[in-house]
Amino acid sequence: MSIIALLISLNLPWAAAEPSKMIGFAALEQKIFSRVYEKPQGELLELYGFIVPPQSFSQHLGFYDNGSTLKNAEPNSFNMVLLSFLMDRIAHNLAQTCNPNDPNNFPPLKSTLQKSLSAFCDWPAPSSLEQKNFDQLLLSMTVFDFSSKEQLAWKQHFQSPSQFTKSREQIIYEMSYSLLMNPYFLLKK
Amino acid sequence: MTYPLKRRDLLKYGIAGIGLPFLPLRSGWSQIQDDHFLYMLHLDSAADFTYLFDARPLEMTKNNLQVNYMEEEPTLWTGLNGQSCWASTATAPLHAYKNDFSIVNGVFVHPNDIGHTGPTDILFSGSQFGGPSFLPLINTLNAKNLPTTLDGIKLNGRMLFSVDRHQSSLIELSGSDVSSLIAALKINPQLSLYPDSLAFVLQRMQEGVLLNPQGQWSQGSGQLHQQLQKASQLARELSHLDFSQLDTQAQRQFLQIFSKISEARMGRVALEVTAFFAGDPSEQFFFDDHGFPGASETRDKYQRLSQKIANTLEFFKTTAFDSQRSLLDVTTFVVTTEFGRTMRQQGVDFATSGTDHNPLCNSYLFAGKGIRTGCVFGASDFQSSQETLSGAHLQLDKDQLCLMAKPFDFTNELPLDVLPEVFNEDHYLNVNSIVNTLLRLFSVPEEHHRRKSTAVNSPLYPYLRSLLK
Repeated sequence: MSIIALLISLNLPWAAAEPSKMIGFAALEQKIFSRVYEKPQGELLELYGFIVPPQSFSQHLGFYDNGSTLKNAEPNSFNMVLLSFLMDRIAHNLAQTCNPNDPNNFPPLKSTLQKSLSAFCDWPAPSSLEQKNFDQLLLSMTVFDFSSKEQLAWKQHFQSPSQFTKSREQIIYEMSYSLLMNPYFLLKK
Repeated sequence: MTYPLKRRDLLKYGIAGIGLPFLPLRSGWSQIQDDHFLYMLHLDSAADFTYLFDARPLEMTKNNLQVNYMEEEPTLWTGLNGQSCWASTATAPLHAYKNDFSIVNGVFVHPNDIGHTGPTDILFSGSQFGGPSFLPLINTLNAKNLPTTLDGIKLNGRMLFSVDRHQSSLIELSGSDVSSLIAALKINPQLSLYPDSLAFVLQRMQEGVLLNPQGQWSQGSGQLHQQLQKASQLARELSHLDFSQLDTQAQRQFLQIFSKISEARMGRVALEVTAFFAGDPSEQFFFDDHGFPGASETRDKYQRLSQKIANTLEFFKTTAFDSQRSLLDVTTFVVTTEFGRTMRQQGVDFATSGTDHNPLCNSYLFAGKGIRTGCVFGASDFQSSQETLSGAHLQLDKDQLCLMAKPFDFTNELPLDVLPEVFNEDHYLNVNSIVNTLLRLFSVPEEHHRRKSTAVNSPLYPYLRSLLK
């Protein structure tokens, strides 16, 4: 600790505070398979089938080199294209929750998330606007990762009357996409 | 050249990327730029320029001073500016391009051997302890250019001897990565199915910045916000590219990607790092020959390297950027390495000696836009076994294993034939001056140029004026 303090006091460039990085592909994958989808059996690189270009995902979204240093995890325009692409596809898939018979290639949803999303299938009926529905979806997707202020901002946004004109598919898509692309979901703390 | 984009437009579109998604694409975009790109070839693991353009006569080898596995006399290479150096026979593939590039020899790196990482860090960040790379500065808003959506691209970014910390905003792209992504983006270049959701995500990222502006998390949130905005533009730009005809050979493919990205004005910088391990053996380079490298291997390696540089120049010369200009007309091409190599190893049988690190001397090649080509700048000492070395040289190299940069006259920009008794770094051309020359060439504001100390008013390292047109 004293060495770090000394380096900071010397104002060396690399000792200065750097922006928080993204959590990296492995952690992102783990988050998605613990909160969104059941992990498919026997698959080593599960998310790779979700998106093009498959082979470069881990490299561009952050990977541990020699098991210790997280590299390529700083946001840049290219990895944000890839990330948006991935989250768009997942959100699009979640938006089909109310149409379970539509074919897709995604793994089955976590049952808790399925139940949380289904509560919005009659959007914007009063039953779907109940506070507990929003709380339940937040809990399923964020698992207490988000600050209370962030949760409140998210709920206020989707509970505002301007949202009531949207279809159930659009509202589920937008709720999901905004959680998956939130800094609390993407960044290392 | 005039720039139709007025100050009012800059405010409208927003500087620092805030309004980049709304900047006009294609023709409007091209009109506002003075097209200028940088291609940097970094010879990772410290190439030995005595096998290129800072060679020594064989009498140095006969006198057991310098191992030389070329075993052929070098030839005198005189530049259009009247300055000379010795060129190894390995440089034969480059002879046809003599007036297309300039050589800068005798560049001081550091008084001590600080391994490979330290000098690489100095080159990219200005500090031997690392830090942000100078390369994204080329993409800084300045008098001539607007920032592009990509800071730059890189090939073989994982340098063995340096952490990747200099390059995070340079994106490693392979043809297969980009081709499949482009195919998908051609179907739908939107980042999100509904614009509302993207706007809300950006708003939450912006809000995150305000939580604690000096904090790491807030800064990370700010980066997400800035880069997601750029990503919308990038997705649209990528969707217009055609990468269906890319070469399978890695370097040629990378050059083609660079060409297309430059033509579309999507990025301004490319960094190619030579690879220790490559699928194509002709692209595999390991220069760190501490052990006996073998004569034939050495000859083969430096001949292949010269051929590679010649091929790169040829690609730039023969690839059209537009109807009037070649890629070389709009690209500055630079060849760099960490430092030079000792002439032999201490305590090792001369007949089988390898070479160690020599941070007292380094060389660079420059070509393309803005460069006064066909010239030789700077020089190193120890040109013959009879040469008297300076006290400064012997102070840093008491065993006389190294070439050392000659003191440099920054007024006339010529090497000095003087023998200072004591070493003073200010009297030598050094790597920070090389970087400042590039920053000057790309009109990067002086506030970003390298200074001799961290003090605000510390003098800038002088740039090499005569290297620039």
